[in-house]
Amino acid sequence: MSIESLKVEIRKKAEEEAKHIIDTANGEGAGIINQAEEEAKRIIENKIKENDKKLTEKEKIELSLARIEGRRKILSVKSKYIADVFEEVEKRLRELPEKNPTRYRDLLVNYAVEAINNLDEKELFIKVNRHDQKIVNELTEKIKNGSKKSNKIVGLQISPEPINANGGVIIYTGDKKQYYVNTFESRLKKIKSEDEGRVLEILLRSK
Amino acid sequence: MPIIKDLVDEEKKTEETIKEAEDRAKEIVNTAKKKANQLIREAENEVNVVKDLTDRRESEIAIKKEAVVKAYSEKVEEIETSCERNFGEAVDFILNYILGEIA
Repeated sequence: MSIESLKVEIRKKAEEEAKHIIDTANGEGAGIINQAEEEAKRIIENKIKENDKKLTEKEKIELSLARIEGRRKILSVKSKYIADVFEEVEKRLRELPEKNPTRYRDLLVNYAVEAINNLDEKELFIKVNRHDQKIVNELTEKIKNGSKKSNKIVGLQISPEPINANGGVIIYTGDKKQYYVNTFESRLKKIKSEDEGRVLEILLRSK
Repeated sequence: MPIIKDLVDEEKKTEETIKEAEDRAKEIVNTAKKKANQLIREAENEVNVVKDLTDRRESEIAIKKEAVVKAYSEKVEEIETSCERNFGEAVDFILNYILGEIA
């Protein structure tokens, strides 16, 4: 082999090695970028996933709050109408003795008879409001006769102490151990506690 | 000894060629690393993709919320109408209970 051939061979080997070094570096560089692209993709995907999770939570909360507010409004409307109904009833009850005195007198008799029939004693006292004290004085016999129909003969005295009620009676025994409260207020209270649902049902009835 | 000198010179050139290649290789890898770091930084600071998705989802949430509010408003209106219509009947029901008959 001549010296020139040897030099060419040496140069060729060097160029091959240089090419190999550059090729390896290019491969490494491409790998680094590829890996970084994958990592960048993963970072963005995680961001999206995390953001999506936050938004799903936000959606749940916002819709839940909207539903709570909606239900609160519904409850508020129902409560308002129930209150209005009871207010109207109270108004009509207050007006009843003036507007329909005959009916009211019959009512007092019925209330008193019902109360008497629910008490075991024979000597009883009746309490009414100040307005009704005079009326009940005139109705005593009628009340006694009413209770007689239920085979109950009683002595009935009117208490001078008035009650604080719009109408109705309180009957009690001489020893004050038994009471029967039969006033507008007691009946209203009872219907409020026992039948408010029924009132609401009527209010919400469709045509 | 000119032959040996020629070969030694050639060998030096070879070393230079390889050294240049190694330097170039380092540069290639460093450039790639810089680009990789930049890609990751950009991904970490990326807000537009998330913002677009957020805007879209928030708009969807607003529409859903509006639908819920509307549904409840309609229900409230329905209840009010029904209560107005049946008000008298409800009053009579209670009066009937209290007075024994409709006053």
